[in-house]
Amino acid sequence: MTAVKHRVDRLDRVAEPDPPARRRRRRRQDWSAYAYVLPPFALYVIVILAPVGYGAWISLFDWDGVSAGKWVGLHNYAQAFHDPAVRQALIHSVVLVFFYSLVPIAIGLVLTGIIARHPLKGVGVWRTILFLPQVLSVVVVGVSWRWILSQDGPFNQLLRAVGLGRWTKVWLGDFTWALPTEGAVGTWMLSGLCMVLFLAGAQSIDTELYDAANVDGAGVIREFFTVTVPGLRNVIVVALTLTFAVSLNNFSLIWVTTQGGPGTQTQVASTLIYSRAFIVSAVGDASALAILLGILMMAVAYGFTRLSDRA
Amino acid sequence: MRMQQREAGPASWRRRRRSAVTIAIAATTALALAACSPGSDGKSSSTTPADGPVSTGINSAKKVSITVTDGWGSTGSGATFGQVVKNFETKYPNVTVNRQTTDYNSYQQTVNLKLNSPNPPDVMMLETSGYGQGFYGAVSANKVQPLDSYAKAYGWADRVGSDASLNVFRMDPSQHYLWGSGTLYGVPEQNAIIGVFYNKSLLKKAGFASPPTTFAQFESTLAGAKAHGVTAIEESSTFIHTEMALWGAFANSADQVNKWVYGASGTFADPANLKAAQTMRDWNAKGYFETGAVGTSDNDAAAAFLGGKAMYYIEGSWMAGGVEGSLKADGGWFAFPSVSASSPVGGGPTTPLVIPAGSKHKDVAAKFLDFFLSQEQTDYLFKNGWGLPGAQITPSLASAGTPTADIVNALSKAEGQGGGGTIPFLDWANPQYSTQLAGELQKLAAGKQTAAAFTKTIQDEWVTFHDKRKAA
Repeated sequence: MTAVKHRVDRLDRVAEPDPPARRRRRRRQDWSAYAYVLPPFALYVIVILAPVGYGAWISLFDWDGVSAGKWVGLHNYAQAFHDPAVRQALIHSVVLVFFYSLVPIAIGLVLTGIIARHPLKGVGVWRTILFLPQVLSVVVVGVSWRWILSQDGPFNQLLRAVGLGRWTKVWLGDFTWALPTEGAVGTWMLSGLCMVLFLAGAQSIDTELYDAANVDGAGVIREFFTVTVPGLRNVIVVALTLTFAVSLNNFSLIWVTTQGGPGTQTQVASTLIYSRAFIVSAVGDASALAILLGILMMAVAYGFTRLSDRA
Repeated sequence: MRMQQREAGPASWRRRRRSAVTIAIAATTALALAACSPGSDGKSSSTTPADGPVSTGINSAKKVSITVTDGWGSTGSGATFGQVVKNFETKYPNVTVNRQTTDYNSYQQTVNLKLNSPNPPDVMMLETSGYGQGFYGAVSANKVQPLDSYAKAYGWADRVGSDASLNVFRMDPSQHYLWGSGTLYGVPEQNAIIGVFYNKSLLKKAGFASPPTTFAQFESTLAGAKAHGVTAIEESSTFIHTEMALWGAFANSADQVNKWVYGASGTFADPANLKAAQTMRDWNAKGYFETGAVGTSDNDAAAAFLGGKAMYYIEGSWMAGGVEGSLKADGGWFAFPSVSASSPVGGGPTTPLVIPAGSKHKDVAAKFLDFFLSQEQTDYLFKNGWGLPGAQITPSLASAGTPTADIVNALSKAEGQGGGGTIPFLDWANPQYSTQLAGELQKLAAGKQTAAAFTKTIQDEWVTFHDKRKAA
């Protein structure tokens, strides 16, 4: 434990800011460096910042996408805070955080603990299989799962085969089970990603630490919690940030499988934004929601970054 | 996998962030100045496009090119439409048609951009009529050319049966764009009515030799199917066509329903609709729908019916080709039996083709619409699996005894003398319904809300929309 802490401290020192004097001296050179950055930065402004700015501008209007917009100031934002549909979508996102973030990270860590320390035969094959969902197109994943979980799909056939016939249902069409099912598909998709991130991170853990832990009498489980998990702390933060973003941002999977139904049981922020912008043509309203979602995601990402700073 | 934070100190962080904010503000301001308010291109949007004098002639000496855009794609019916475009070019060699097509879902996302473009297409498909997706928005924003003069000059009313058939493409600018009367803005791409496709063998298995003709008989076939272990009705998660069939069956007159759909008067929360909604709920409780319908997509439901897994499939007439192809002689069709004597039939002319107000070749575009509606092209479309084209086909084309022939008969009966008339699709009555209806119907069918709660939700949304429309 102390060795890990020590190592992190050392790295932090390397990353200390330059003393002010040196920085001032270097400033003149910086301008030529900016010239190199300019083309990609211009591109960034055109394809990212400008649309975001325009989106923020639209969010101040009552606009149907066709006729001239009517200025409403912050009304769209005020309404978003009172909109029960928005609240419901956010609650669904919180449920999905459990399935998309916490469970995959736990699974990824356990798999890493096993694979990294006790190389199995054909580890490459297992790794590929577990990572496969991440490589597949989300639409393919969605269509496949919708079929697997349908009334006569393989999952229900399996339930019937083992005598659990009365548990069969159309999982994505059940008012109670649709959201957890949607979450479970996300767990399946994201566990492989977490595992690959953690495996890469585990390679930079000094094996001496494991030796030290063994000498201190640590078993497999002790080793996992005192060496592997702390050693992966920064990678865990990366995984948290990525999977959190998916929980808040996940559109394709939900759209392909349920389109927010049954009723509004799987409606999340991104599907709500899409249907308001492109189906109902409440473009100002949808833009305000999108901006709020963006701010929320940046806040979460910033929080995680600070968390990893402190590590 | 270490994050690259902390390479510079807090002071420089703050400075960098400040400059980013400055740039963002500058970019936003620049855009704001350039764009003013979204949607106002400073041109034509505030003035109603003028209708007519029009010319039906074409100057064959002058080369001209027009753009036609649609969401039918390039296969199936998209290819059929592509052939109509080619036929037009063959007939008028001086005209070049630049056809732009994408699949239906992507098309939806580009309609507004196309309408707002300084160079809009000359002929455009819009998704729905009425207040549904697109039509009301485009018309009330003055982006669509009035077609009354063209319709009169070309005689389009005769091609679609009667002038009243075009009412679903009319809106009245003097009444805050009230739908159903006033100025004509589009012509129909297709005719479609809601009815019941049935599997003859399964109906026999349920204990009935011929299809039901009254509502009571219809319900007893459902019970018969249930008793004999046959899935009575194949249903998808949208439930909309069954709701529309019931809505029509319980309604007393097309006129009353149309007034409500058009936004003029009436209420959805009336006893007839309450009964219709209650029937939907009861049918689900009695197990008449395919188990798990709430989680079944349209495509899966259609595939199940075409695969011979259910007795009935309540759907639009566009399924006729599929049913004839898959179920062959086993496939049949009948009009949904009405409860009252003069019940209307759900459906009628759908999917408007319009000429954007900004088109620079309106006369040629109208020529194209006329060509599309001509007897020759209509028959061509029908023979190539288009379904029922917007204009009338040569009646002898539908071979007797097929679902298509029955549909053609039912449609001409509904729209002719003594028929109950047609009523537009329910989801055209309000822009919200396209997303809201499926969810509300799922809650209704699954017993999660009462029939009264359902009709009230639909009616409340109607009031909200029309209050806003009248205030605009």
